[in-house]
Amino acid sequence: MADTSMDDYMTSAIWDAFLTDRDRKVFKAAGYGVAGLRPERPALVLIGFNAGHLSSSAGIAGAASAMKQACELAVSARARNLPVIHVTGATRNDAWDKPAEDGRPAGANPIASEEFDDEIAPETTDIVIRRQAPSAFFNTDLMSFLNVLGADGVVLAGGQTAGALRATAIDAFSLNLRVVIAQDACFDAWESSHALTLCDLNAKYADPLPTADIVDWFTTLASDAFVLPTGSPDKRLDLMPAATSRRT
Amino acid sequence: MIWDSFLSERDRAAMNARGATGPNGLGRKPALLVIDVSWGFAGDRPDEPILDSIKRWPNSCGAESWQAIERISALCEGGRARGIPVLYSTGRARADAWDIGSWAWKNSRTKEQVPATPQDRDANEIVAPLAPKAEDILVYKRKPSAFFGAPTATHLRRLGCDSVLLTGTTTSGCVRASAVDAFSHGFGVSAIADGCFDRAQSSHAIALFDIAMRYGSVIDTEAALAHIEALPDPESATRPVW
Repeated sequence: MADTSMDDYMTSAIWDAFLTDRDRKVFKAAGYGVAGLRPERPALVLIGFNAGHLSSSAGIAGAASAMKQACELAVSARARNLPVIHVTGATRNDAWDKPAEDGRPAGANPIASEEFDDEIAPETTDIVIRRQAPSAFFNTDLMSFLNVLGADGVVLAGGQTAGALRATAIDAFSLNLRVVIAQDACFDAWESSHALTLCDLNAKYADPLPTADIVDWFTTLASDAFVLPTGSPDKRLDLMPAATSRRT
Repeated sequence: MIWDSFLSERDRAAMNARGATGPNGLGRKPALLVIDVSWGFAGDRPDEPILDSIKRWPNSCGAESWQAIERISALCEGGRARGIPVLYSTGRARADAWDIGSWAWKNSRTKEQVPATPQDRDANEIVAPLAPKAEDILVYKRKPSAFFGAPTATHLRRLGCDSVLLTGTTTSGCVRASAVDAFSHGFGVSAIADGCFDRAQSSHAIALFDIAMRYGSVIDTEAALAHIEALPDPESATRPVW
């Protein structure tokens, strides 16, 4: 909890190059950025590892390498029977209910863009959350699932860092959950937004950590702490009225 | 724009190539939101540099706060003159600070801020130049977003609002969290850049960039006042009806 380590952390951090000299002094003098509380019963929450972010044509630089880190996290979480929760969108195929969050049009096939990449596809004991707003908590069952699991915090990975991941982190903070960010398992189309989001989260809301440290930490946790789903594939809800539904 | 000098080379090139921004957040029935412009966030000496101000007010955003407060004051007057609801948020906490929860986890000075400050003033009191009028609306909150644990969305619906004009502080904290929640609730989102302030210059600039790219419009006070002025029929603005 000592803030003496912050000097090293702030100057070696990805965001340091984006800060002004005054910003560095202000963060330190105002007491921000000390190490937060580590969850004792963490759930791993993977956000936005879907086709729209990962496709080779319209995807986001850094998403594929973030996914490799996230796969490591998922494997190590499952090895300790920690909850693994996947978050993606839910949309009609005319995208009426999908505001252009990042200014990009929804694309020709909005439903396909929300499907998980094969490499990180949910296993049958994982939990799937579908959202229509940036935060994975907004109008979803995520908090009720965390309650039934008895989780006291979340480990977040995915993207976009300054969009869904940040919005989810802020809601988790507001819900008094402990928040850890897998800093090398996040991606954003804008590197400036990515860096400053990690800076802001570290200052006030969450602890960014490297994936390797999180994997090490997971191995120290009990493997019988959670009662997980016994295994059943997630069924996607069809949001289009049947008469006009046309699936390709 | 203010973010230009804070963007990386790669991002600046991508933005110039793309030109795309977030959705247009300007609506026909806006509410003016004034987020957390309290002594705790603005300090109590308008010209005091931030590094001096935060010695006494750990959350202070220093002299920039007071430049924005002048703009917010003009926006409040312009909005009230056109019947536009002005909604203020500010923080609250129990005297024993039990309810600050996660705020205490990442800041070594939290205990100085709650429950009492060494000053005569309550850190959560709205600064005197912006003191809410009787017809304004005040919501109290404990977390970043003005929508979290507060009746803000209910009030905006009751007022028939379709959008929010965001001012206040901090740009990257409570203003931004409120922008994201307003967007999620389906309200149009506009942030008024020179009516927002933050303790960190980089966080301020990139938060506005993120809002402009993802959630809505970023405009200045002049454009916001022009928008308010051009709205149809000020009599049609809805006031509380109960």
